[in-house]
Amino acid sequence: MSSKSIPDKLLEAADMASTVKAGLQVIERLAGTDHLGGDVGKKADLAIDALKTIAEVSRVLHKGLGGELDASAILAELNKLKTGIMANDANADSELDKKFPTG
Amino acid sequence: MRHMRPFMPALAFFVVGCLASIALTATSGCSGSQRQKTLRAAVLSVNVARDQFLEYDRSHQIGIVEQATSREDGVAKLEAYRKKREPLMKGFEIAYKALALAATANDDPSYQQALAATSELLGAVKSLTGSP
Repeated sequence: MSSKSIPDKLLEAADMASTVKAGLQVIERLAGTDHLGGDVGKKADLAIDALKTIAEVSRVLHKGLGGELDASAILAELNKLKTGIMANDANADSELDKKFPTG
Repeated sequence: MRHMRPFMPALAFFVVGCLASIALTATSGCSGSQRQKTLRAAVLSVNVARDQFLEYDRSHQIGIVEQATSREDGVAKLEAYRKKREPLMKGFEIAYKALALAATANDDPSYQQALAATSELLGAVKSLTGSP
């Protein structure tokens, strides 16, 4: 069973499609025609772009939804709590100063 | 601000629900990927609780200021509230650090400790909920 992630498999498929396209272009040069490259080549390019885009989206989603838990990212969440509390305290103190100005 | 009173029990129920689902998942036998999913769910649960607590904290302090009868009264009540929330702050810190350790260590003791720390956090939430 392959251990490759889905994004890696998609990129592998894109590489294979690129190889096939290059092969077709060699054939058309040998045959002295641009029939293959005109239409099939464009379709191959679209398929390759689609595969690479899906791979990238998949990779971003995989990371964003937590493909692998990262300790530093978890500790960054703790820092959000600390900065949020500091902001709340400063806000409350500021409001108190406005309500009861000194001097 | 009285309308904020029902907020903390709702937060507590939400955290309890998340922890119950985590506990059920954890006790059903834990493969590596299942462990990651459980820890990820715990982190997300703590993040949601954090964001909800920050909003509660902001509103509660503003409410204290609004009801203050003098500057000294406001300062004293803000200090009292900030002192009272310290256990919850500590609970969040312990939970996050335990989850970070569990994500790195990848062993059962750190895993169980992370889930226990998250449960401890729930206790601190309930403690704040019960205060007048």
